[in-house]
Order: sequence, then C-alpha cells, then structure tokens
Amino acid sequence: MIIKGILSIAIIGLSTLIGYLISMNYEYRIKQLSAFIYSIKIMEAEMNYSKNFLMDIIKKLSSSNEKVVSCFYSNMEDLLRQSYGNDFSTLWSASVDLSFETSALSNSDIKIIKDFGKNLGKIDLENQQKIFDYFYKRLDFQMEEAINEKAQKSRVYKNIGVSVGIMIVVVLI
Amino acid sequence: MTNSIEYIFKKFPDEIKRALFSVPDYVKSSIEEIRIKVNGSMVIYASEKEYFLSRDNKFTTDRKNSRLITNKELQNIFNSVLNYSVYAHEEELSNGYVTIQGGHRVGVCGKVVMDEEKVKTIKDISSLNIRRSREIIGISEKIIQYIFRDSKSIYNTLIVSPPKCGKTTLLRDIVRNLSDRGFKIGVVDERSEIAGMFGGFPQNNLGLRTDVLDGCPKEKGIIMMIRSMSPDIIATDEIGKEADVYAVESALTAGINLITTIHGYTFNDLENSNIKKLVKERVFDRILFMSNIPSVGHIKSIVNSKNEIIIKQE
Repeated sequence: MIIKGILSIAIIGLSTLIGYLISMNYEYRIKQLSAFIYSIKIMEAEMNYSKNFLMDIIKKLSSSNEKVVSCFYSNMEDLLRQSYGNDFSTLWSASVDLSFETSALSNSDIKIIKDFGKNLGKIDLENQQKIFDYFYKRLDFQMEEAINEKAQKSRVYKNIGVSVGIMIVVVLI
Repeated sequence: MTNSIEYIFKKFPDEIKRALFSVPDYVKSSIEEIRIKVNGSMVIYASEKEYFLSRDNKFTTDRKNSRLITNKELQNIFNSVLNYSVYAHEEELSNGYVTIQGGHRVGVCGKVVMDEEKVKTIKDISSLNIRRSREIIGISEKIIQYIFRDSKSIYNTLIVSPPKCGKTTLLRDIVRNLSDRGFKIGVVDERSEIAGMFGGFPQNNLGLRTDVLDGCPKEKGIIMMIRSMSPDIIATDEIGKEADVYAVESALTAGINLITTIHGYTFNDLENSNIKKLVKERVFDRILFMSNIPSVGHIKSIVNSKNEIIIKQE
C-alpha cells in the first residue's frame, strides 16, 4: 500500500513536471525573443551613434544576460574569427543554427533572425535603419503570438500534466 | 607589423586567401596594388608585373588562364575589407576610397548615389583597388641633408613625380626623420595616406613630435594646424588646387616651413600648374624629382627654387 502510494505520487509528480516544462517553453520563448530584440536595439544604437564595427558590437553583445543570446553572439564572434573574409550572412546563419537549435524559439522566429543577418553591415545607415525597423515589426508580431500562445497553452499543458498523471494512477490502481 | 600586406590577405574569402598566402615571398613583398573587378579578373600588381587569379585559384602571369570574379565574391570582399561595417565608412565612401587597418587604401567604383550636389555614397560596387600602404623606414636618410637649411630649420620642400613613384612613402619617412630629430610637425592628411589613420591611431610611424589632422581638406587643415598646434613644419600630400596656394601662403606668413608633394614630371610642369604662383615666387627652396626608373622611389634630381641642380642621378 505504501509502495502504491509512493508510486502514485511519483507518477503524478513526473507527469506534472513534464507538463510544467512544456508550459515553461512558452515562457522561455518570450524571454529569449525579448532578450534578442534588446540586443538588436543595442546593436542599432552602437551603429548609429558610435559607428562601432560590427565585430566589436558582437563581442560586446556576447556578454548579454540571457544565456541563449550571449551564446549566439559568442558563437558568431568565434565564427568570424575563424572564417574572417567569408560571407557574413552565411556565418550569421551558421551561428543561428548552432545556438538556437535547442532554444525555445519557434522556426519562424529563427527564420526572421536569419533573414535579419542577410543585409547586416552591408548597407549604409539609412537603409540599415529600415532593416532594423522591419525586423522589429516582424519580431513584435512574433512576440504577440508568443504571449497569446503562452496565455492559451501554458496553463493547458500544466493542467494536462497533472490530469494525465492522475489518470495513469487511476488506471493502474 | 600592423601595415603588413597579410592584414589585407586575411580579409579575403578562404579560397582567395589561400591563393594570396601562397604567392612567392618576393612577389608578396613588392605588391603595389590588388585590383578586383566584377565579371573581370583579380590582379596583383607587383614590380611592374601582373599576376592573375587563375581558374584553379592560384596567381599566375598567364592572363588566358585567369578566372572571373563573381558579383557575390566582389560584394563579399568589399564587405569584409570594410570589417562587415559599410555604415561605419559612409563618409569615406563618398570620397571614393576607404582607409583600412594598416593604412592601406581601398578605392571603390560602382553606382554613385547623389544627394543634391554631394556624393552620398557608392552602391552596387563593380570594382575595387586595394592600394598597399608602404612604410619604408630610412629611405629619406640619403636626401635629408639637402633639406636642412641649418640645424634648426629646413627649406620648403616639394616632391614631384608621376603617380606610383613613391612620393608619399618618401614624404612619410621625411616626416618621421625630422620629427625624431626634434621638429614639431603637423601633418594634414586629407586622404589618410600619410599616417594611414585607423580608429584614431596612425598605422605608420611618423615620429615622436608629429600631430595628424586626418581626412581634412588641405586648405582648411593647414590653417587649423597653424592655429591649434604651432608646428615648426607642416607636411601635406598632393597639393594642386588653387585653394591650396592660399593655405600655403598662410603657413609661410606664420613662419612655418612646408613639405609637400605634387604630380608632375619637370620644373616646367610646375610652372604651368595651379601652384605656379608659388613656384614663381620661389617658395620651394628644394624640389625633389622622383621616378620609378630604375625602381620605385628613385630620386632623379634635387633642384633649388631657380631650377639650379643641387644633385642629379640618372
């Protein structure tokens, strides 16, 4: 009886944890998107006001607070150092694949971030600004979607986790 | 050395980088220019010879075996040469060239975008000319004695030659030499070729007592230098505009000596140039004529303001 009780608690606990972890993905996506947008805003300011070189800006951003974002810039910095002279957007894209593969970002978020790298540093400030503005618009939309998804699905997954655990226990007992 | 040619090589895509690094040392050391053209060749100019990038990504003198540079490759080279930061070079680009680390100069051709009367930028880049900045310490040693009036002052000096004979290289070393001998020198470096300033640091050694006004038009820079830094000597490259004459006269009035360069071949060319007024007034007590025969940097003769020969070497 005691074993049954412990087993039931374990099953419910595990299932609740899985539900919780899935629901946390929605939370992480928002966090990571917002950290990435913040990093791009720093990049924009560095370009506009200090005219710092992109490589220096990337180096600075590699010490970002959000781990996934700092990891992305740090990978980008390494790739630039190893493969300097090669196409920037190819390196950017490689760094996105390397850093965001296991992140909470959706495929469409990742595609937008890859697209952003296509013209980064290749054009004058006026046109660069247009790219920034377009990027913010696209990511704002993604952010809205992420917030809605979180509101709709986060609690659902938490509840499903608990319910599935209880169901398994009921069936088994 | 920060102005090593290898700083330029590192900016190329892998396959071209490998080809550049595998060029024999004697070619590497004498590279003057690297020219790259979209749907054209990539050519190294060294010691009066041309080396073409071949289909198997090696440099060869055989033009027939050269391969075409694609638009994507050229844009990529342009972008990486500018540290992936075109936006940071906008102002320079409107002049048609950019100075990169090492003091090397990248000339750019493409579609010019105008903003009313002014060149705003250049886009759709079609060709690049990477001109190597050469710093040869000590080349002024042989001629420096002819520049001195006495131990505390120098003659106003003009270096004359056609392009690519080493005027700027000689001027740079004269500046370094005089600066290290105790003269305060103000360099007005309109085209960033003398000091090769990059990120606020001169990439070439201009001596202990040299101040640099970078990217400033000569006619403005000379006046600014007189007012701000009280130099003994002002050095500048390639005078020739009528406005330069006024600035030079201002420097002379302030008791400052001048060392500068101009394109030309003979004394007669100077008498017919935009600085003829200065030549007629015998402002330049020492005029050095240079040529690239038998080799770049050869000083053919030094004359005084009356075109009387001081030394001549064929």
